[in-house]
Amino acid sequence: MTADARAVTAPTAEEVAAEVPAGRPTGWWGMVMFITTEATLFAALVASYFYLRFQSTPDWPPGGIKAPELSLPLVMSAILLSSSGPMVLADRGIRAGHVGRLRLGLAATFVLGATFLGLQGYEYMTKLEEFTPRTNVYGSLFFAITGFHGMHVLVGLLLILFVMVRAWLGHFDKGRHLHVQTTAMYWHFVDAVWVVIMLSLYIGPHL
Amino acid sequence: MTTVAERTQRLDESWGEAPGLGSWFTTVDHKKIGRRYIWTASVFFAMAGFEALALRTQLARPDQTLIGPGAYNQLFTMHGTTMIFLFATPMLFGFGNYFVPLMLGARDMAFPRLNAFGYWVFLFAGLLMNASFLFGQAPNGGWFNYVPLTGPQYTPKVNIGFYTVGLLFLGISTTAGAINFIVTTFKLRAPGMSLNRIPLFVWAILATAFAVVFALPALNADNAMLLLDRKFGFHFFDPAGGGDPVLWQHLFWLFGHPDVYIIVLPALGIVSAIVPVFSRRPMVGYFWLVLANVATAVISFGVWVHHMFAVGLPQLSMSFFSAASLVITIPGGIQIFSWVATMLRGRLVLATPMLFVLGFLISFVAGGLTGVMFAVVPFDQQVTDSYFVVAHFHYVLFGGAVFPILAALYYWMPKITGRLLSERLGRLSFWLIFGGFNLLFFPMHVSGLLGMPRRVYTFLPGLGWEGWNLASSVGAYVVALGFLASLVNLLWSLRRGEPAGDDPWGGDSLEWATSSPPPPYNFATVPVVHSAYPLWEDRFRERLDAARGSEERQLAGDHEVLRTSELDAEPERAIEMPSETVVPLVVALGFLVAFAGLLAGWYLVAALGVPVVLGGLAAWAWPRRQEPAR
Amino acid sequence: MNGTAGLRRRAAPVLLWFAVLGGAVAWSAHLLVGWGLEEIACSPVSAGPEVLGVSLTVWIGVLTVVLGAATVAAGLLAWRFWRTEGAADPATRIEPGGGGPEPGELVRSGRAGFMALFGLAANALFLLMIVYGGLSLLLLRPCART
Repeated sequence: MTADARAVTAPTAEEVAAEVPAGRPTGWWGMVMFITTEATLFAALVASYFYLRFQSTPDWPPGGIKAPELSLPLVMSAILLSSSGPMVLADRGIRAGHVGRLRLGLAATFVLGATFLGLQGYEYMTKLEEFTPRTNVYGSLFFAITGFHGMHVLVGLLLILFVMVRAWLGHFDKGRHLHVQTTAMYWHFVDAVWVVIMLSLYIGPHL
Repeated sequence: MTTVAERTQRLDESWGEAPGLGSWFTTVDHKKIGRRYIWTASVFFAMAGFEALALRTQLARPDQTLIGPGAYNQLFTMHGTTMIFLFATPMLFGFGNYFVPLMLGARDMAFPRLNAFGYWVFLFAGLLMNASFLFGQAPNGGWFNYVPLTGPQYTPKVNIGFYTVGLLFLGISTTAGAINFIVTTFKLRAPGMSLNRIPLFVWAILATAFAVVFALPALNADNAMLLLDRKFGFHFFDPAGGGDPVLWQHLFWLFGHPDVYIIVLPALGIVSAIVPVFSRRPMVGYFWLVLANVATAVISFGVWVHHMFAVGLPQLSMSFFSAASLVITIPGGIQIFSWVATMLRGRLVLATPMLFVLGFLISFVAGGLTGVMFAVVPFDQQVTDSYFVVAHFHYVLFGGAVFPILAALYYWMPKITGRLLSERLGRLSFWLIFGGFNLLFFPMHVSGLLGMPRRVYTFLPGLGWEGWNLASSVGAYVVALGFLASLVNLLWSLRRGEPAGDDPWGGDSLEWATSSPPPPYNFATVPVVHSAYPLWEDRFRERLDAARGSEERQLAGDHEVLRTSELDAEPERAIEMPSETVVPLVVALGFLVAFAGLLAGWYLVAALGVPVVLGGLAAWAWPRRQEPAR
Repeated sequence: MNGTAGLRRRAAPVLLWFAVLGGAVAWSAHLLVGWGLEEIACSPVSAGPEVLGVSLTVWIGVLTVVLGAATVAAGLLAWRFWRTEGAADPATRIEPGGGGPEPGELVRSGRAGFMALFGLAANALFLLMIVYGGLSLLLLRPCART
């Protein structure tokens, strides 16, 4: 414990060789890989959006379509992104053995997620009065990308439902919770994709 | 405390699958699934081969009318599509399925049911795409399916629907398989098999699997957008609606170029498995081969615009891709040098597998050389869409994939069937195929430089192309004879071949440590490795046999597999694997109904597939019994 | 002091991963961002070869220098780790003492040295591509088409 000012010294050979990652179950890796491939799919779609946008005429959206109004999407974002909170509660909770937190967290996430989808349906109804996927490429991109994301939210809700049933049947405890963990990972991924969509499709045209 | 006999019996009981037809639909054994991939891919290879023979027969002479332009378009499209999507990758994944767990010292893949599911989807998607012939509506826009030709305006009929829907369906299988390979390689290696001791074939499959995870989504996005344009009037590729046909090309080649490495890397991995064994020494430059495999897979994502050098893109952006296209040849070359050095410094054994490896080396290097020529933009723009391109990619694909696959068949069939193949028939087959292959494809370099465009159903006399085309067509038939010889060899060996024994070649990797064919549980005892060439370690077999005495090493609980750590393969715990089940087949059928309904426009039918899939997945995920704590 | 040591212990393997993957990530960013900027600058709706008022040449020059430097840093780190760990020849059998299991540290350091050498070679390749891509800036007019 000297007064050596260089408190940070180089890592030793042993520290560098410590094994990271280690100890992850096969199901965890399976979900990581699945998320990776789905994320790449969204990246391809969003890249296509930007590619087509910058090929186009200076006004975007084209064809007289107004730039997307932000109030409803911002509410939707708040609801979806906050739903990650109870999911974390559920995931951490069962790891500490609290079945109650698991059930509560899952139920709250489900309600918030379902509300998001309901609001998205309402948004579609209003948008469809102004343009459809067949109007022009902007319409095609908007509905395809948000629709694809919506399908992922739906799948997430089904996963949560499945895990909720198992939770109520008492399948999970401190040592057994892999499905909760992988469902949580998927759910957070779906939220992260929404952030990208929000920035690219909704906020982007206003910049 | 159980005895060795009791534990062996438990292994037999918990891993054995019921004989008979039922088990055919419910198996989750990676060896059975691997064999199925190999068989089914071979059938698709034969179909695509006959399509090629038809093409070459039509082109044998100028101005022939055996096959009209419409049929010709379908034939060359399906030849390419079938070879790439239904033969090459599934065949190599079949070898991967069979041998990756064995080489890792594991008893199965990480996700056995996902494995079975992947096979069924492959079979159904392949059948769906080829069913198009029954309607005379096979895909006809070329294997890379450019818009606007394949868009709703210029191909209104369902031909392209078979292409888009078929590939979207097939992509599920390829991705599932890739994820399975990755997780198996990360978690199920034998203790002691740290990263730097993983067999080179497994490294190749791992790099390929990662490439699949990142490449398939681009193809899926492309096909989904085309489907939406064609069936539902979207405008992604429609300039009148603000879309851009060039977007199809970008997304396609963003998938397509990595795809050629997805095909070639596992094949190069097979070569890396064979060369040390038939040179009787460890590989020179193991490290460099690992680097080359991984670097090639990564860089392959940065070269795709070299398929678009004639599209009119800005020079500066093309230069990024030209840079990567030139640099990617470096790891490719490293692999060649490693193999050649190993062969020169070893004692070469010229059995049939090695003959096919030599055939591969010559053809693949030749194809690689013309490939480097294409990386130079001005040259590319002169020969684009000519037969020079056809020559190049057949040298790298036939040379780089088919020869190694034949080598693998001769090398690994004895392990799979327990019987040796005939060396004489093998040599005959090799020379017919190698000679015929060069006669078939070499002249195309010349006819291409003389200006013959690709994908033409006939050509005029007097352009100087006749002789070269005739030679190619003769070569095609010689190649076909060569394959016939190998088929005869295989059938003969199944009936009359000499028993192979555990290790007919004196191999270095773990598949040779067990019987031929292996028992359902692969290894009675969990192997422990101390190098990258376990079977060449001192007294490896004695140590493995001696470990029978240990209950831990025999791992005879219910259908158990040992999970180890990702980087250093330190033992973690035993995990229980699922046994036979019909659920993967049911889910695959659900998907088939959904995709077929979508293709036909029967949306109600398609919707019926959805609850089948969801229900099946729920049954799949439901715990078989109370899971042990993690 | 303990806190720093703990941090160092946790950071060390992460640094090894940076040494292994740094160049690959840098090159991917160079390709995607560089190409994206070029497409935006040279698109029909753009005023000149510039993005947000800054010339394309400057953008790509800066990108090349920054990402090239990151790759060099990863390479130097890889070299350093390779010297400390050493790469065990996978053909060498580490003879366990008295028939017992291999010493774990030797397995780990062999594997880590292998990773470090990999990083060194890979970063060299990626640096080459970043430099090539940036060099084309000096030779080609921005937005010229063939």
